[in-house]
Amino acid sequence: MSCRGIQGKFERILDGRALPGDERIVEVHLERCSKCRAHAVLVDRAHRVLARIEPADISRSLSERAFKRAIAAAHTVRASVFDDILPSMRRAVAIAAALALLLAARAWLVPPPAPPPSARSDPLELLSQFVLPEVDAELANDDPADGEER
Amino acid sequence: MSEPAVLLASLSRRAAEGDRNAFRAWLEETHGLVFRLALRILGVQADAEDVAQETYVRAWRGLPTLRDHEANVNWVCGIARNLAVDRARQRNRQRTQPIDVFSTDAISAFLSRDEPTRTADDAMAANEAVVMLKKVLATIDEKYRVVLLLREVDGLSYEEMAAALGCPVGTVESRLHRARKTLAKKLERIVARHVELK
Repeated sequence: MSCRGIQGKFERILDGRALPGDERIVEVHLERCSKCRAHAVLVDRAHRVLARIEPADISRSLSERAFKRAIAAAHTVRASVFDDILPSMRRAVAIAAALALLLAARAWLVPPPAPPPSARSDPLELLSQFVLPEVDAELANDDPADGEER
Repeated sequence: MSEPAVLLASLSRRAAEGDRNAFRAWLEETHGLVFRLALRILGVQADAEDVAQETYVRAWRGLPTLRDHEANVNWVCGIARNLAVDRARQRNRQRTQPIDVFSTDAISAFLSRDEPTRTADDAMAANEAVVMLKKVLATIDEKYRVVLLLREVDGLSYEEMAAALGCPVGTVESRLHRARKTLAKKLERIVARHVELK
């Protein structure tokens, strides 16, 4: 068997996945192959040092915190969606309210327009509404001395 | 599909429909794998915790769009992997940690020893060796280092590693072989240089 094949078997042994007979095959090979022997020694020692690295500290509180953050973030997402929508909604409501206020103020301050003249009004009376005040004003401005000269 | 896998797929489906209890149960079942994966990519507990949390934030949002609930573990590990790798990249841009060959005595001494540790001094030397080994590991390509740590330190099965890494079991086997070989070579060089210097 090739050195590569032996190294694979050696790793299977380290992983506890060796097939029946693997250990004997590796043992025989290592006895006569110094290169594989050196490799096996290093891999085995590295395996032992690696085993001293502390395993991950996984407490239940870690998953609990992850759950809480996920749920809280979902609420934030919903809130932020409304935050996106609300400013434009607020603006629209404000504009509508301002318009309503303006219309109400106008209705209160400005008197209603004079009713349109009915079709049955007297034409002379209508004419007097517009013309007579102007005529009166002209007459009032006229100088009385003019008439005396004539 | 195994019984636990069927249960996870069912929890994942219910969580996708908004069932918080199912989401909590699914999170508790998958969290260990997600956290270990993040920890082995990043190497720092606090960063791994943050990445694991962010993973579930995205998972809770993304579950309703998940089509294949049978692949829920691969999916959530994929999220964690991407987040952890991105964070590791950002961190690596900020600092590099070259190995100081003169400070590798501890690991060299430990590896040169024939007998396993017995005394308190031996244990201290072994602890120093662990510190150095971590530095050596940091120089190994992430995809090999992670598989090595998940196997050797966390004791994950090949199937669990395959799910965490999103690759077939055969790929896990070949990466692990390559990782061990690379580590052995690096350690061999350190020992050889140590001998030369002496």
